[in-house]
Amino acid sequence: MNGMLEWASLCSLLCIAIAMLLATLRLLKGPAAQDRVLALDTMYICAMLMLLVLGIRTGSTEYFEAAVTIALLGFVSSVALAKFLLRGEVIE
Amino acid sequence: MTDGMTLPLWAEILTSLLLVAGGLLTLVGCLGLWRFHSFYQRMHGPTLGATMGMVFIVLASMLYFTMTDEGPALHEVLIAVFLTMTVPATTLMLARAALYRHRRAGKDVPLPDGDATAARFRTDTLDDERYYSVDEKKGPPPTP
Repeated sequence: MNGMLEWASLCSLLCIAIAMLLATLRLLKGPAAQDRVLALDTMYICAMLMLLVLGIRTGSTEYFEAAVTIALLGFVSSVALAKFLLRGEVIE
Repeated sequence: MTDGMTLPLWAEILTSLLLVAGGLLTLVGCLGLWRFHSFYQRMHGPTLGATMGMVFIVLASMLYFTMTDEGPALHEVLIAVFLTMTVPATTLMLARAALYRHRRAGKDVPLPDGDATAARFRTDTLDDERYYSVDEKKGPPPTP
């Protein structure tokens, strides 16, 4: 692999890392519970994109399976958290 | 880095452009998640990365693995289709949960149309309990 793709994937990884950092800041800041759930939702998508870019960077297809797993589990966990926000308050 | 398999120049340029565009879109979306004022504005930001950013990076991956391996690499479509189906469902449920929680706290959501500046200052304080108090006379809000 020559230089251009290496630099492009590095730049993309850096962008996604900063994006994850911003999502982490939102996760810590809140202010409401739904903001934190939204930040978690964003973070799993960013992690999945990062794995896809790493797959291109290293040229191996193993990262793809990890990305699929993250997409599946992230969806399930986000739906569970949204459901909890919708119904947990009623019991309170 | 793996060596030995070289892409043609046009494929390399296209893959690089798609990668950088996808990363930048994701970054801009998360910048919106950090900078916007109320939850309902914040929800719009990350969808940028979840739709266009995801599509660009998946296209880059498909192009790269199609050019390096023999035969088309189509398994990345799986991620694109799955995310296209699941992200709106998650966002919709989260929006309903937020509406429900705000209404239970006695807040007037969604905000009425009209003066954008006034709406902005109201959304600034949507989650700040000092500016809103629970209105007991209105009764419980309608369940979603």
